Amino acid sequence: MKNYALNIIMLIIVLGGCKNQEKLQLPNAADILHNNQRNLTDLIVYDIFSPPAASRIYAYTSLAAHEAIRHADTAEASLILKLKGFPKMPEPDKNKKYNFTLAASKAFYSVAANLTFSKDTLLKYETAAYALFKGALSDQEYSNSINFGDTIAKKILERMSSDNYKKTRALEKYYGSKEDCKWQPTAPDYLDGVEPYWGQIKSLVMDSANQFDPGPPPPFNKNKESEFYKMNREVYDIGINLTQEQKDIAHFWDDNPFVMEHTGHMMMATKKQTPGGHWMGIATIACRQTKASAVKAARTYALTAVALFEGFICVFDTKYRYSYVRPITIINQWIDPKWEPCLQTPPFPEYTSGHSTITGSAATVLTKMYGDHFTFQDTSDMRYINMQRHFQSFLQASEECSVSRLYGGIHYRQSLTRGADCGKKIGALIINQLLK
Amino acid sequence: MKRLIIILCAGLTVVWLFSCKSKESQGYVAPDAPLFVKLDSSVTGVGFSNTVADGQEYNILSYRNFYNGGGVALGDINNDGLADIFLTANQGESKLYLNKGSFKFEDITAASGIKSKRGWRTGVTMADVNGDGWLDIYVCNSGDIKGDNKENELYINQHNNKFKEEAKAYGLNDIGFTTHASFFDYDLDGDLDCYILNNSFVDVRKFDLEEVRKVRDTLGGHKLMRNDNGHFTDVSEQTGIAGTKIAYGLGVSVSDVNGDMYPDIYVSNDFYEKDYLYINQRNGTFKDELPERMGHISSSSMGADVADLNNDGYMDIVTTDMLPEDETRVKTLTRFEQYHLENMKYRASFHYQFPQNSLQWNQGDGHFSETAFMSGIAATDWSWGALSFDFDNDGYKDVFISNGVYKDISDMDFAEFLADKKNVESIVTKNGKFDFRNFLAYIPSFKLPNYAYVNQRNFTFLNKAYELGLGEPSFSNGVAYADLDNDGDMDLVVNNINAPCFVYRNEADKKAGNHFLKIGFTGKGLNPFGTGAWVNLYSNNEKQVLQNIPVRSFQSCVDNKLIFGLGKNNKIDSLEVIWPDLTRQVMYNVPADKEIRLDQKNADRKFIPGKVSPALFTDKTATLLTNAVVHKENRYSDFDGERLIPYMLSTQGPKLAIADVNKDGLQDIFVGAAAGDTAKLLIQTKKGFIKTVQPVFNADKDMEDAGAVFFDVDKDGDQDLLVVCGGYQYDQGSSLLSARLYINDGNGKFTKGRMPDVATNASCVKIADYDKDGYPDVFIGGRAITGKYGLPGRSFLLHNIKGQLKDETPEILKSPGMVTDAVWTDINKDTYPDLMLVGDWMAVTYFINNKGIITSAKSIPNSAGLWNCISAADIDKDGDIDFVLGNWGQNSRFKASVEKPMEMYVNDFDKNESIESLITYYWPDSRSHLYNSKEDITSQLPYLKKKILQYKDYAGKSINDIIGNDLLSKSFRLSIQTLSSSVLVNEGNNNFKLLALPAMCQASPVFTVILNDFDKDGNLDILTGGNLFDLKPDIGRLDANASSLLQGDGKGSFKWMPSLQSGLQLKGQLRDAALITVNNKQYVLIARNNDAILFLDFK
Repeated sequence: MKNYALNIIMLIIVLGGCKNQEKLQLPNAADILHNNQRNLTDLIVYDIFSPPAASRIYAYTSLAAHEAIRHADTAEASLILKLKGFPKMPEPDKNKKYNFTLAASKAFYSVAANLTFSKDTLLKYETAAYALFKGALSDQEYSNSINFGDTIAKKILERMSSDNYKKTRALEKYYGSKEDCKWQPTAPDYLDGVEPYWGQIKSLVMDSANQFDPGPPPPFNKNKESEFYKMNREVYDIGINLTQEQKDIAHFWDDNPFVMEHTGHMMMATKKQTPGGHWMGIATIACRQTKASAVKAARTYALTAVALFEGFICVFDTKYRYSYVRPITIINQWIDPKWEPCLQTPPFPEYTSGHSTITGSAATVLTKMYGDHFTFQDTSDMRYINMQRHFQSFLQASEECSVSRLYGGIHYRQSLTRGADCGKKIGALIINQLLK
Repeated sequence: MKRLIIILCAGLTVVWLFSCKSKESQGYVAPDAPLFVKLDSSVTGVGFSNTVADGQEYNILSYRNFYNGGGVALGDINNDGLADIFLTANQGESKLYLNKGSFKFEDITAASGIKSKRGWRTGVTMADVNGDGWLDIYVCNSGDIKGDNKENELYINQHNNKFKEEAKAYGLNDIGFTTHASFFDYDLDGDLDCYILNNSFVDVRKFDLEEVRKVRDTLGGHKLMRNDNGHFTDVSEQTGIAGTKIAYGLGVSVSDVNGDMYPDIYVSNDFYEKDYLYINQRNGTFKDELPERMGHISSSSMGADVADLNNDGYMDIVTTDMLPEDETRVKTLTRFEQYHLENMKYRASFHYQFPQNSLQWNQGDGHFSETAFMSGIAATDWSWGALSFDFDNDGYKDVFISNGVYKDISDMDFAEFLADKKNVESIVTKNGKFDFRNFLAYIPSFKLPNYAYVNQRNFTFLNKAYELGLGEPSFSNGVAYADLDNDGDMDLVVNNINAPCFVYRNEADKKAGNHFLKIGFTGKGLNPFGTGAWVNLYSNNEKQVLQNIPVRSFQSCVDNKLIFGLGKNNKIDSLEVIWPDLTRQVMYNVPADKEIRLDQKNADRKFIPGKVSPALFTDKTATLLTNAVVHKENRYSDFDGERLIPYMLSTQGPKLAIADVNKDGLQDIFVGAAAGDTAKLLIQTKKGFIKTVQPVFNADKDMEDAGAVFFDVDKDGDQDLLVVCGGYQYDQGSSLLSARLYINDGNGKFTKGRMPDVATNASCVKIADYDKDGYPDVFIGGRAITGKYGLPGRSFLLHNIKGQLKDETPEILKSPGMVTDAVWTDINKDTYPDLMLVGDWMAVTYFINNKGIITSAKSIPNSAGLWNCISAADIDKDGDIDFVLGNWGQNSRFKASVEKPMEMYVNDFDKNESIESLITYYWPDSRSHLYNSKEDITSQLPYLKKKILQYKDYAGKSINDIIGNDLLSKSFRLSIQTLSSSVLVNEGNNNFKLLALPAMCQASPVFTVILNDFDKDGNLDILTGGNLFDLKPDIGRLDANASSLLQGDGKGSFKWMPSLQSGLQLKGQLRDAALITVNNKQYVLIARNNDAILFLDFK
């Protein structure tokens, strides 16, 4: 994997350094898209986005790229056409020459510029990406492509600006309640609930945020024989007997974008890619391993991102509808006041597991595209946490990702299975609507 | 190639681009002939420097107090009459310098036998531990160095400039992370006991809401050690000293704060643990009474000092914290807590803590009012020692604060964008070995000038560090004073990190021309230096107090001789010394300008606690009410919806209305309720008050009462009731904001009356027959539009047409602003009542009533403030009506003046159909900046993250830089010029003059005033009521002055009466007050938010 990255970088350096030469060879189109994708993830990590907000960035950027590049292959249908809320998309002018990889990059970065904050870094990425084309394309073809990408981006932005994101910024903060069984802020920082109104974001495929309601979680019960007590006991027992393997799994899939660590008055944030970013990375691996064409790569990213986006809307709607308590709250109260989960508890309600839902949907989509037995080495997190793991299939990876939350001490088993169920249903809906 | 990867990795790029910021102080030029002259080591021979270097294993990352620095102890170790110097070095060699006179010192460390090399040296104390008449030296050790011994050391004086370490024999070889220790006689048995101040072993990774603080840590906790015939025994548990696992002690100050002469202890704790105020229970035990005695405290309390700063004879307390003065540093270094967290911590008994220095004024009985912002000393950056002494002997104690941290480790850009520990670690591991020191170079480092506050004698201080010669930028920690050259003024020694210590010679003797009295002590038995002796000095009708407690400030210890500054007066009327055994001696006609020695054996009297003369007001609630009448506020957080507003508008109640509703000749009381509670009507009978049941009130319980008035709307001879609604939780237009009219059946039973639909978030309701048709009319003040703070509320004028109210609001009265209070009064003397309004972000505005038609509106120039209330009376006896107005006060970051107004811009800045209100004020850099933190601004206006991703992108900017002139010019804009509660003096001819009320009355917002001649001297006095708790934690908590009595002189001037004298030592948030007659006697009735109503009797 490192070699791939190196090659691209080398390429950029070499090509970027010789832009005065005529008739350069165009770089591999799929590599360009992979590189764009990785740049975006780095930007998201740096700018600090919550996982749902990150999924929104992935969705709009990759849909923009796909909408542009699909014109490179006449057989490739528009995905956006089948999604809710988009305006009519522009078509290329038959009399003009385009490079649709460049157009896709432009659409991708223009949308990203509206969603991320580090504009200088983004500009650097953009310039480097476009430089690859500058020497290889005629000025006319270059500007045609840029303009086409830009027009697509503008249309995407119309949908983006009316998806309720802005409105939900002005709504009230959320602190849960002290009632039994209800979510309340948790140690160490006791933050208010993140994105309590994410369920109001307009979905792309689902008819509503609660289309896949998992039903209510088990009721509160102090009785040691009760389901509620037993599931807390399970999290606790697993937590105090964690094997190294389980710890590794918990940390490998943590993908918490922002953990503030305190050393006296000194503070240091540990930033990681979001769970969505992790699965976008797995999508890259699938493409590279199969040497997928640029068009297929763009489709892979778009479908994965839609799966993540829909998954987050569904699961955050569920989370705040049931506002279910986190294990740490109950365990500290009833079982062991000193117990700490292996992972920092994220600041939002427990039920159901976000990881399980979004990996359920993403893995379902990827499996449909790349098969049931796609074995791969997941190196997508190397750059952030220096860990890699091997999987026999996307489903296996998603199941491990799901159970990692139980090992992490931040979810009940029930939430994993119910979350994954919803995720798979979302995946199936996407396949049904977009891949048939 | 590896390097290329790094460079191309987003997010990590910055690590390499971030420039190392380190400003040296080479630009510093000392002022000409300052009061304090810094003497070079070539002159003094004191070449000490506390050199601290981060190591690979042991550094700021592995030890949180790595940059806390060393201490200073001053005292005469060889009894030659000259104070000597001991300085601790954290890593290097601590030094003992012998004073040879004339500011020449000799390093005798090597010969003295002091080899302090254990652990990490911190505080130092000179005390005669074994009572042999020679000062011993106690060196505290800390530091998390593997395999190192951090036992504290006790160097016993061998009487020949030599010392022998005997901590173990005395039982003082504590192994905690000791910061400091104070020796004093807590049980009054004649020997010195010891408080060992430790800094918890527990990592500051998180705070625990419930369990940890209850756990006693017998090794690392704070300890009180009782001196049992020369061996010290840990008596912490039996004496009530917490000794908790999470006490991060950084300061211990001993003194008597409640007038019984038993030593109390103030302990300042760093991080989330609160401070302790241990009140000596006079039975060998202590009780931490801080929560009952202090409204709020510093959050990361560092050093502290106890001294009487206003010469009222009571000990005040200063604690230091880390709040910078400079706007850029506030916005890049200071993380303010979230509101919900503040409340969670309070409920978990961490009390209210804010990142600011605290100045706690002793009200006389050990209850305190905190006014650091008003007093000008709240923000001195990352501070350590606070040291109060009289710089120039003018008779008032000043305050020196040492500050500076070697690396700005709280820099938020570093934390969020640079210091990704795991990232950096993993990258660097690829390159080779991870060494934290490489990384440290990227943390900014700024030397800071210390602060030297000169007492302005009006509860305020002015920083004159530079002018006084004390402003050289440094990283200063421990600091102590002593008269090193015996010339009658206090010289200063400051311990610095990575720079030579400062030795300052005070030239007050030559330059200030003030008189002094210097005092040494000869104590009895095992306390030969008289530690704990308290001296009262009376001269020129003023009282000064000093106490001989050498452990002060931070990790430091001052000389055991005291100096009283006498100003221009050289006559001392009397001098009283109270010894630790409560014997005392009084002397008269003591000569000034010399050193005297007080000897305990001359103490021929017993100390008897002074009798407090009866106060003007006394609380009679319990005798007038059998059951408390309590207002219950509903929990609602305005900040959850509007995170940029500085204070809540939903806690404005309760309001009172008083009238005889059942025509029995006795005044009855209406007390408004918050949403969810039922308003109360208390009927007065000969036997007391009876709560009546009024079903109509119960039906309206979801409404929040914001104002109420009794009047006879239908002229049927009884008192009807009009109640207006508020609460800031219901949207404009909600029926829960509709004003309600309740008609009296003549016997005090109320039914709903007909009203036009006037639904508004109201503040007040005021009655006057403005058209003189014989029917009383109604003005309803509009407080605000819910969710749109800043936009004017909707006000109403209801015309009473033969008993029917009709909305006839003239255009100019519909939206005059965020009205908070109003008064009908005839301003132009045409017998028609005119209407005067005050409001939040409003100028004082009056509306002239032209024979029944409200015509013009006039604003009094430069009178815009955050007004809460207005009352009218002729205070200067010149025949016209003057006004008293309650404002926000001066005790917060907010400042406003004509030249430097506070401003607010209101707009939907991010076009998401919700209104934001942006507030700016002038910071110490004389430029206007937003008050909000970067997190709050970017979470409310996410689009700004593009412009201000990092904290440094936000700091230093004006609102124009951030929002842009174009958008600002389209915004609704408000400006205010004064925050002082004031009197508005009517000078005739429509000329009015605003005059600020006395200082202490500005310590809190004033919500209600009563004008009455309380002291019966023939002149009107002012009783104020206020406080406001529900503020953004960035602003703090305004709890310092619930109520004050201001005595009027009949000429328009007022004098604040100390609260012990007035008896107005009230707590809570006062919202309304009124005079009421009960059993033919007048009382003051007080309504408090979320608290019981009170009846106060006055003489």
